[in-house]
Amino acid sequence: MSVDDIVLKTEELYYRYPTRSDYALINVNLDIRKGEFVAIIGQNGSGKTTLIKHFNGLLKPTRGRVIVDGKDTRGLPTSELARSVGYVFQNPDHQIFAETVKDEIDFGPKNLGFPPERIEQARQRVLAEMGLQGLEEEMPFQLSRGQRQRLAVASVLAMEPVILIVDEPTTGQDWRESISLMELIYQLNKKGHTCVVTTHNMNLVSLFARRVIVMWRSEVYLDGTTQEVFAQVDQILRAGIKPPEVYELARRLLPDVRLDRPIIPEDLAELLVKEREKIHR
Amino acid sequence: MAFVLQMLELGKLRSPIHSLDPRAKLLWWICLIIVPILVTNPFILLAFTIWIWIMAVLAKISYKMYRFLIITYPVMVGFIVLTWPFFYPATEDQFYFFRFGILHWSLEGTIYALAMGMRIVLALTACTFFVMTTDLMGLASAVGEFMQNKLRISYMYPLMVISSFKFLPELSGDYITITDSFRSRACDIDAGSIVQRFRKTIPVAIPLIDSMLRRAMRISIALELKAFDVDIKDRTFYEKYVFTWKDVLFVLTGVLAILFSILAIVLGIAKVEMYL
Ligand SMILES: Nc1ncnc2c1ncn2[C@@H]1O[C@H](COP(=O)(O)OP(=O)(O)OP(=O)(O)O)[C@@H](O)[C@H]1O
Ligand SMILES: [Mg+2]
Repeated sequence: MSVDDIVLKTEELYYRYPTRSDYALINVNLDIRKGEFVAIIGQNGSGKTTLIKHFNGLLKPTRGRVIVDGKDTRGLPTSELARSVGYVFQNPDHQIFAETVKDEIDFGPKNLGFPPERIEQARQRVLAEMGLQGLEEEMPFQLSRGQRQRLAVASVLAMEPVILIVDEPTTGQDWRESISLMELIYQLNKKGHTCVVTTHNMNLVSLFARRVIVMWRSEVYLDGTTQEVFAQVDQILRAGIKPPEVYELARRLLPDVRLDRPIIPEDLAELLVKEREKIHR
Repeated sequence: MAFVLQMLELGKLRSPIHSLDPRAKLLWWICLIIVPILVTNPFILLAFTIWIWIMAVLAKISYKMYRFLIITYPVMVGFIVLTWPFFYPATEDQFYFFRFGILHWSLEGTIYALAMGMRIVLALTACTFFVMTTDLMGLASAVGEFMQNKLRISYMYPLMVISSFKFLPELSGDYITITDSFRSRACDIDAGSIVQRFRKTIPVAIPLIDSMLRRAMRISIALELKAFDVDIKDRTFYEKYVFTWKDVLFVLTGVLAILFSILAIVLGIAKVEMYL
């Protein structure tokens, strides 16, 4: 991969909220490349939201730089950065205002000045991608929480951003809804969107993310592929995070097997079967 | 909107003025509302306004808020002063700057406009000063204490007011999140002409009202769970407010302002008519 692939970069990023005396971000240096699926995890208050709010200019560095799609965010308003970065807020009710699903989705593209045909196309595409077909004329407030969450994602995706940022996409959703939402984001990632997600749900992280960034006390504490990060159980526990059970199990049952990719319970079962066959032979 | 919320938050600052009893400031404010009713001499009104500006320095409000206090109202009233003379009845004995047909502008008209404008400036400046230096929650609590313990009126009503002020920081948090989410969809609330900005407040208002209603519902349930509205006559109050000599002194300055106004009436210098 070349340097050109970097779509998002922070250089010695420090941030302090004006009302606080301590830093909420300390010396964050990250490169995020085109097509990555990154999960940012960490305890409550570790700085995840503060970090991703820098990615679309909602916050501007106290010190250091944030480069998005080759541009320094300092000089650009969020409404301009919205062309490259889609940011989905945790609570869909904080953004939904329109009378119909259709109007809600068209709002962003209209603000960006897309021509009517492109708005139409974008809407059809995101409705299909988010599984909201046929709901165009519905009132958003009558949709279920999961549907509203997907509508929030759809209305951001309609602006055709290169990078998609989602803060805590799965709070308030049951396991099934969470999985299907992450699955949708995963599909978008496969189609080429760069995705950055914060979450407290380690099982979802282990199922979908390929890269994990662990925040701890305002700093980036660990950064690597999902299996690299979760293999460092002691450090992870120190940062106040409980790694997914399947990693812990794998480590205890198969201490000699090196994990070279993220594992899910099915993989572990397969590994165990193989091990058993080895023993029987 | 964000500005108004910020202004209401100012009441929690620490300063000699902020530490006064909220009830003292309420009485002072009432005095300063009476003054522009009694007096129309623009120069006396100006003097009172400047007095409040000086007190605002003591209250240590931020530069941005101070600028708002000093500039906004005079500018607003400037428009009144510019237009009012056109409607001032044109009589023969005035000094005219110009007079073409129905269009006219006289010195007398200008002075009269200035007087009316200064009344508004003084009233609004006093009101803003009051809001910027008083913790409205503290005020409601102090008034509630007085009502319950002295007048035997249920604490319920003041508490309703208090809870709505408690709402403000949360409301301002919601407001920021919501405007941020609109910004992320390329809709910048704070950009564009006044008309454009006004139109943009409508989409923001909907999620804001929605989240407010949800919060209100949650809070009312929480209040009932904490035994609010149980019929006990002598309830205790965590924050006790006591009137000190400083508070008395402060109210006295307001009373003095009224006395001065009455004196001015007696001396015949209270009315703008003396210049006309
Ligand atoms: N608007 C704000 N003003 C002042 N301090 C803030 C503000 N927002 C967050 N903070 C502080 O910054 C620190 C990092 O907060 P942040 O919201 O980024 O954490 P987080 O990792 O997203 O937590 P969570 O998992 O709870 O969402 C915390 O100490 C928090 O109290
Ligand atoms: Mg957060």
